[in-house]
Amino acid sequence: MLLLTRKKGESIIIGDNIQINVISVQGGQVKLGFDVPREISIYRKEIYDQIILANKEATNNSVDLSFSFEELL
Amino acid sequence: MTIKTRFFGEITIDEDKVIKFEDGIPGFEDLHKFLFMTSPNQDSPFCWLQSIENTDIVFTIIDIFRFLPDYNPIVDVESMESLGKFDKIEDDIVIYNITCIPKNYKEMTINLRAPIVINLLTNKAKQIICNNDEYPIKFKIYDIIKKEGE
Repeated sequence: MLLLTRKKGESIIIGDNIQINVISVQGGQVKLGFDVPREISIYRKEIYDQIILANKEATNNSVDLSFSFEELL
Repeated sequence: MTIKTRFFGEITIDEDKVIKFEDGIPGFEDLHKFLFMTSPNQDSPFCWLQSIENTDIVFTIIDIFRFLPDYNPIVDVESMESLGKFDKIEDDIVIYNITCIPKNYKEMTINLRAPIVINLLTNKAKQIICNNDEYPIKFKIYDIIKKEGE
């Protein structure tokens, strides 16, 4: 993994068209700004990981609800 | 085309009924083609997204507006643009939420944070992570469905 140290107001450029700006650093939190092409999605990793986990769990549904819906209630 | 489904055996569908997820679905990035199936039981709120490429993968989804009419996911314009053009959002765009049903089905949850958005004009779809931080990935839904059914 490449490690870089950056200060408030400094930036990192990845490839030709992705720029990450350090907006502020305060109390153990860093605020980042992203200049990226519109088609690139940016997610908080922990949220994305939780969604992957929930999707995987959802494919393990063993109940075929089509016929048992009324029983279910 | 004839496809195998996990819950309903083999069925034959028109190619133009295929729902296309160009980026896949988080955790299943290599699956791009799904079949949308409704329940034979018309009162059931559940539908399915059956992978055409992997029979084992089927998502149970729910039309949540029936139970939470105030559900209002806010999504980026870019995500919507990736689904192609549509005329009227209320006619052409539909939203479903993936349902997770454990053995104890009363503990069933739905993912309010990342709805499945389908453009009916293009058949393109995407699971979009909405900007509503307040919407949980695991929202307990059984009691709400049960109440509506009464």
